[in-house]
Formats: sequence, structure tokens, C-alpha cells
Amino acid sequence: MSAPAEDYVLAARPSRAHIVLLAARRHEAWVAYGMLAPYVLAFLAFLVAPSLYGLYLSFTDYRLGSLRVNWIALDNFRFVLTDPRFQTSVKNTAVFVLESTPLLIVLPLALAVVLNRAVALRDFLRGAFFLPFTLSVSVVSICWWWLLDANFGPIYYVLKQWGLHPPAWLSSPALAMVAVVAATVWWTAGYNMVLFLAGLQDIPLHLYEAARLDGADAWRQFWAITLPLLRPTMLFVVVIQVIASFQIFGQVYVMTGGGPGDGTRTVIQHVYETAFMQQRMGEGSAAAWVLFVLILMFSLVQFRFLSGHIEY
Amino acid sequence: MMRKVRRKITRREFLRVAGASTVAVAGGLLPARTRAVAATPNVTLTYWNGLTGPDGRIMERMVDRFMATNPNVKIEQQQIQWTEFHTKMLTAVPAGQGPDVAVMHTYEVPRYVEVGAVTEFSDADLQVLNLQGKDFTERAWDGGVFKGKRYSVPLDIHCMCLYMNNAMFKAAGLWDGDKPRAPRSLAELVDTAKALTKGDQFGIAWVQRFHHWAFQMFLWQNGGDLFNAQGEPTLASPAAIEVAQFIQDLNKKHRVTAEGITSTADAFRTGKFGMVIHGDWNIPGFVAAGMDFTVSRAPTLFKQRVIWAGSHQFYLPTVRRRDEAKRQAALKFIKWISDFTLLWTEAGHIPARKALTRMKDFLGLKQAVLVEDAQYWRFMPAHPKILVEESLIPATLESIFLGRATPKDGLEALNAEIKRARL
Repeated sequence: MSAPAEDYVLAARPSRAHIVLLAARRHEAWVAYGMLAPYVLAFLAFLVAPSLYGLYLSFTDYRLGSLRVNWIALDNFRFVLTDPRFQTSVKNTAVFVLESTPLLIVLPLALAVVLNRAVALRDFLRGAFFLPFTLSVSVVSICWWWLLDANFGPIYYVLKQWGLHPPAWLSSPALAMVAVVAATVWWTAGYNMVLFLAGLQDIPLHLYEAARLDGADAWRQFWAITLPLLRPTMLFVVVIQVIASFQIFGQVYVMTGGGPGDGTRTVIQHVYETAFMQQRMGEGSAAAWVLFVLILMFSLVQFRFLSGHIEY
Repeated sequence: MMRKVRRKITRREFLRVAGASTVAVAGGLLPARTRAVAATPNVTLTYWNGLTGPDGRIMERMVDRFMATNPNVKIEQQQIQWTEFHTKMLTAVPAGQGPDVAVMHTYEVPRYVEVGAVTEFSDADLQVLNLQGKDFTERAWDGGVFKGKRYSVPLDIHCMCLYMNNAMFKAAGLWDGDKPRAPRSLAELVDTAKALTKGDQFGIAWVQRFHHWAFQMFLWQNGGDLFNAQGEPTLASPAAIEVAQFIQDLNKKHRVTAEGITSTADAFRTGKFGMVIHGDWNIPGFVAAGMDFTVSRAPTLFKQRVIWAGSHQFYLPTVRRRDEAKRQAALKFIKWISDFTLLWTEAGHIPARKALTRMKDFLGLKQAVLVEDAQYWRFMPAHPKILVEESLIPATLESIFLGRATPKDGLEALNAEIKRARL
């Protein structure tokens, strides 16, 4: 880019070398667009377009089967926001986010720090912790549901053998939520662990050497070097995790059905039941967009607090 | 389990049942003059239903047999879980992409009629089918009519019944000669359940969440209903509150059931529950599990005898361009499946055709005893808000069952919510 912009105007004809360069760049750009195209097209067709269509539907009285839809402005939003069951769903979702997110940050981070060292069976353990993540949500949920079944499951059986008679976990909303959180942590902790491991391996080792020479112990090294330098990874993991936790559905739907009562009913479940089981698409779409706005707000706040420049 | 079910009909068995059906049809039990369905050119029919359980495998085999005997008609069947089935149907049919034949429950039809997604069976269609009201159990035949028009013809009836664990009844001394002593009233049910409850065994498996058909049945027995004549929900009525109280009492007062049961069929299969009130479609599963059990008519716990029942029926969805050859082929298919409903009884269901329920092959089945309830059968109402009610009621009944809500508070909140739902 040696030639200033005015040259083009004055000369009205760029040098030959320039044309070749520009053509090459243009070519490169086209190749890049070409490679991106399949994803971008799928993204537009299967994510952006349906979401916008959903946004449109949330302002209409569309129900499954409708041949004509009527614009009803904010009616659906008014209905959804004043619906006690939707409010309960939001509250439960928030509880799940608050219970699961810290566990899904701290536990994977601890695992990553330990498994980043030369411990015995390191590769096996890395694999073992990651493996549950490869299972589908229904498999994980059904297994935990069976394990935890209060009448025939092995966990309650063992507890009863020990003379303990804990209440059925499906009898109390708090216990049911704990069970769902436990299943979720077991299922997804390995994924965050891998992300943290990658982040840890980006931290230059000489920083630790210098710290050791200065007499810093492992604990101090963690707080002074590891944690600050993991900030980009941390931002990514926290944001992605909060979004994922807000979207909790499968585990709850299979394990508790949202119960006991509405004790573990979440927003996505509310959306699914309203839109599909009750065939009220407009209200379902409105509820989904309320959730989207909630998630967006949380993500923006997190970016604000956690992002920043890192210098090694 | 499914594999076992799949193997169960052998070719010989099939021919025997099929032969019996043919004899029934030809032998004057049904109108003897079977009108020949017009010869059809080669057609392909799409056939959608929500039969995703073991009964789906049985339907697959019936479809295969139909195609084997009718080589000019190809059936492309899709079995889709019910909620997704309706989502798919109600988006596909208006777009002109729906199936040629569908099986659904009668109570699900209001939305389809509202948007014109199903067609009427004309008199000519019924003539081709050569089926009429007197061939069917009255309730099943009437169930095909919505707002005075016939949108479906029945395949089967499925109804609530009482399952009893023979070993537990024997052990508790509740055994008369060759069968368990089935409770016939509320007091008897509670007494029986109490006698069966000991150690880790419970008298009855009551569902904590999900299906609530037993509640509906007892609501009807108690003179209540889901909706009144004006279409308003009536789930907070004294009758409903009384039934909900009974459900709470089973758990909290009599302590004859366990908490945490989300599938009473699974619970019953463990052999630790003496009774369960559930649909007849569980029979094949219990048989496959090798259980020693008795099927009996469901008890009358309240004022009058009413038995919850449902019916799978054949619908002809609206198509973009009506194709007479396809319609004729669809009618031929429906007629064939209807004639051979005895095969379908392996799924635990009861044929909707009266003549078939008198056949020896049916009378040997466990569900045969349930036909005696025919006059008491009652279907879920084909009300526009029935799907809202279905989706919302499990959470309420669960809270009441667990004692986390009083029957009155729980049902009043539910009723208000169903009322508020805009359709």
C-alpha cells in the first residue's frame, strides 16, 4: 500500500504492479468468502432466518395450522410477561444458572490445573473427564434418572442399606434442581476443562520459573499468573456457560418434566410447551425472544467486566 | 422387549387371525355383500401416525401385509411422536405437503377442523368402506363425528383398567379361587391397597407426574367434567377437588403409594406395587416382562360408572389437489386395516368393530373382559383447549399429590390459567 489514495485520483490509472496486487487480494478475498459461504449460508438459513421469522410471529396471533396471521403488536409479550408460569420458569432458570455456572467454572478449572501437570494417568483422566460430554442429553438424563430413582435406583438403594431414608428427590423442588445440576455438571464439566487446558498451555512457562525464583508458592502462582492470564479463556468459558445454562431444557424435561409442580420448569420448556404442545406459536415465540434479550443483556455485562487487554 | 413383540406374530399366526377376520367379514357377521372397491392403478400413499411405541411395530407389519396383498398400492408410513406429529401435520397440511392418511385421537381434531386440515368422509366414501354405525361400538363410531360432521372412522378403543399383581394379592390373602379380589369401590380400593402395603411394597402405583387420565376418569365418575357446556374450564369444581383430595390422600394419608413415580407401568413391572390403574395398551409390556398379573375392569370410586377411553381413528387430511385414485386407495387401505384389527389387538387395544370383539381370537386376550364396559366408555372432549389442559394439568396434580398445594388452591390456579389461555 505504498501509493497514497490521491494517486489513484490524479493518475486515474494505477500502476500495473498495483493491479496485479489488487487482483490477487480480490482473488484471496473471494477464496475466503467461498470457504466461509457454506457456514454463512447455513447460519443465515437455519439460525438467522428462523429467528427473525420467530420475532415476526411473536407479534402475531399465529397458531399451528393458521392460514392467515394477524398482527397483534405487543399482546403476546404482555401476556407472557404477566403469566405466572412464565415468571416461575424465569426464576427457576435463574436458579439453575446461579447453581450450575460457578460449579461449571470452578470444577473444570481445578481439573484443568491438576491435569496440566505431570500427574499419573494424565491422558486417561483427561479423556475420562471429557467423555461424558460426547453423550447426548437424553442418554445422560435417562441414566441419571435411573440412578437416582427413589424407588428402584441404585443410589437410593445404597442409602437405604445404610439406614438412611432420604426424601425422594422428585418430592422437593430444591432436591430436584440439585439432581439436574449434578447431572449437568457431570455431563459438561469436561468440555470446559478442555477449554481451560488450552488456555493454560498458552501461558509462557518462564513466568512460572521467574515466580518460583522469587519464592512464590503454587497457590500464589495460581492467583498471580494463571488466573490473570487465563482471562480471555475465562471470558469465553463464562459467557458460553451462562448462555448454555440459560438454555437448560433437555435434562429437566427428561429427568423431572419440570416438576415437582413447576419447581424445575425452565424457560425453554415453557417455550416448547406453549408453542408446540399447546400450539400457541405467537406466545411461544414471544417467550423465546424474552429469553434471548435476557441472555444478551447478561452477555454484554460479562463482556464489560471480563474483557480487557492482556500483556505477557 | 420390542424385539419379543416383533417376533410374536408368526406367519401362521397371521394367517390364522387374518383367516378368522375374513370369515367374520364374509360369514355374515358383517354385511355379507362386500362391495368391491374399484380397481386402482398404481399409487403411493403417505401415511402418518404417532404410533412410536411397540404398537408402531405392529402397525408396520400390518402395512407390510397390506402391501403384499395389494401390490398396486405402496404405503409410505411415518411414525412421529404425538407432539411432533401434530406440529408436522399442522404445518405440512396447510402447505399442501400433508399425508394421504393419518391416525390420530378423536379429541385432537378441533384445530384440524378449524383450519380445514381434515376432510369429511362423504356418504360415498362410507359406501366404499362398506362400514356403518351398527358395525362399531357406539362410542367409537360417534367419536368420529365433530360438530355434526364425520371426519374419521375408528380403528380401536383403548380404555382404563385395573392391573393387579397376582403374587402380591395371594400373599395378602386377597385371592378368590382363581383370581385376585378386585376392589370395586373407594373404600375397598383403600382397604386393598393398605393390605398390600408392607415393607418396600406398596398397594398401588399412582403416577406423580405426566399422564392424568385416571384423574379425568374419577372426575367424570364424580359427576364433574373438564369443561362445561359453554366451553369454560370447570377444574375447580367441588367434584374435581374431591377427586384431587382422594389422590393426595393415597399418598399423604393412607400412604399406600410411593413418591417419585413418573411411569406407573415401569413401577408395576418391578413387582413391588399391587395395583395400577392405567390404559390397556400396557398389557403387551407386562406380558413381555413375564409378569403374573390380572387385568380387571377399573373400579367405580365415586357416584357413577364412567370409564376413560380413547380411540385411534383414521383421518383423510386435506390435500392440495384431490386425486380420486389416491382417495380410493386410501379408503381401501383403511378398510383392510379395519378388517384385520384382530392383528392390532396384540398392542393391547380393543377392536372398534363389534363383530371382531366376539371372535374367539379376541376373547382369549386379557383385554377382552374390558368390552363389558362399552356402555360406560367416555372420551376426552374434543375441545379447543384440551391440549392446553393436557399440558398444564400434570404440574398441578403433582403438587397436590405431594401435599405441596391443597386440592382447592391447586385446581383453582389451574382453572384460571386454562381460562386465561388465548386461543
